[in-house]
Amino acid sequence: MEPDRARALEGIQRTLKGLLFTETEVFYFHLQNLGVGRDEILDKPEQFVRTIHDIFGKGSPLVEKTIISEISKELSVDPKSDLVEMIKSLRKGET
Amino acid sequence: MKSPEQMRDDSTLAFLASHAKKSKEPINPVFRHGAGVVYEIEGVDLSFERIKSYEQEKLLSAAGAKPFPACPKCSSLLLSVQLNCPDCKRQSLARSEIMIHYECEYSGPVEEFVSQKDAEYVCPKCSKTLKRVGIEYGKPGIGFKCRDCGRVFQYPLVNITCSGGHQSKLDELDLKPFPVYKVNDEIQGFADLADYFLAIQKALARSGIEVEVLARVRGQSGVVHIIPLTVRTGKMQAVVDFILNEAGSDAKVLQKILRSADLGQHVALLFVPASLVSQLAGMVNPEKIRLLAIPGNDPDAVAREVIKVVG
Ligand SMILES: [Zn+2]
Ligand SMILES: [Zn+2]
Ligand SMILES: [Zn+2]
Repeated sequence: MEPDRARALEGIQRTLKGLLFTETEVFYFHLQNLGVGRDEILDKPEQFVRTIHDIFGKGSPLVEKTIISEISKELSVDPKSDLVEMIKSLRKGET
Repeated sequence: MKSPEQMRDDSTLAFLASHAKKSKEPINPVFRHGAGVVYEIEGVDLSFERIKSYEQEKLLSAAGAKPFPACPKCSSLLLSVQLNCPDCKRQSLARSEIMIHYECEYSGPVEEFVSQKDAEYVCPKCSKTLKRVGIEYGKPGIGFKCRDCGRVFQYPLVNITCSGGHQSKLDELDLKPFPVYKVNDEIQGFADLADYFLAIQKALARSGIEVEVLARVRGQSGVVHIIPLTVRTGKMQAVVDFILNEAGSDAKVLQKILRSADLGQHVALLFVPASLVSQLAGMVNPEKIRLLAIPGNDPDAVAREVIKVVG
């Protein structure tokens, strides 16, 4: 994995851990149920974001916003308004 | 007792505190198929992740280690054992008591020597009748026979395969140590929280409501959640949970939503500081999580609020 992608993944995992603390494993279980391993988040952004919506409902904008701001800080890139777009742009190396 | 907003609303810590009152035994790592290494306390599996975060907070400290065999290539602990023939290396072995005919030196499983006609043994190779143990025949003990090449032996080759498909010999396995923990005295700070939950439980029980304190409820993920209170009435079954202060309440409410999603059918009554009710209302689905303001410091008042919803 390119260093930027590795840092972005780490940033996402760290953000989730910061928000969900000891419950993070429960989130990863439901993510895995949709076929996304915790290390595959960047490869399957739609499923990742869908899991966030399914679980957090009205609370999901907070999760998404926090992750977007964390990635943009981590990689010094402009935040995008949409988490799927943000992750996809990392995949294409647009950042 | 501290007032509720001075307490930290982690029911697992309250559970650990009440456990530590009863037992000073070290907390040992155990390996669970599918879940990896967990720490079992009174039948509840706590994940290594969770235990580690408590260690970072100095609530637990390592007091030794227990090693687990691991794949030398990928560190997987999910290992399976295969027994192979030392000659042809194949796996079609049968385990049984071994018998040997001294004169012709044939050895094999006892069953091969059992004669159809009578109670005596007959050598399957030379067909002689064997009567006297220790003189004509011996039974050296349990062994293996390879169904493929016929070899009889005492010790098969032991091969280990990990979940990733790597093969190793027994002596090539790695040992991965996991800490054994002891509970530090600081954990007693959370006994107050357990007492608070207990006081609410008593008040609810006085009103004839079936209620369990620090209940263990398994979620869809398989994780066992420690719930402050679960109540059951003819009308409904609900979990009662708390966010006791404003610090980090955004993250806390996400954790409660996640927990509620994992618990499926249960309705959660989530008590939060009055100042947070309207702010958090925008984040939760009211059909799954009902937000209630904590009514002061009195556990009885909390019980009355619960009864209003479930009674
Ligand atoms: Zn392996
Ligand atoms: Zn063989
Ligand atoms: Zn013989």
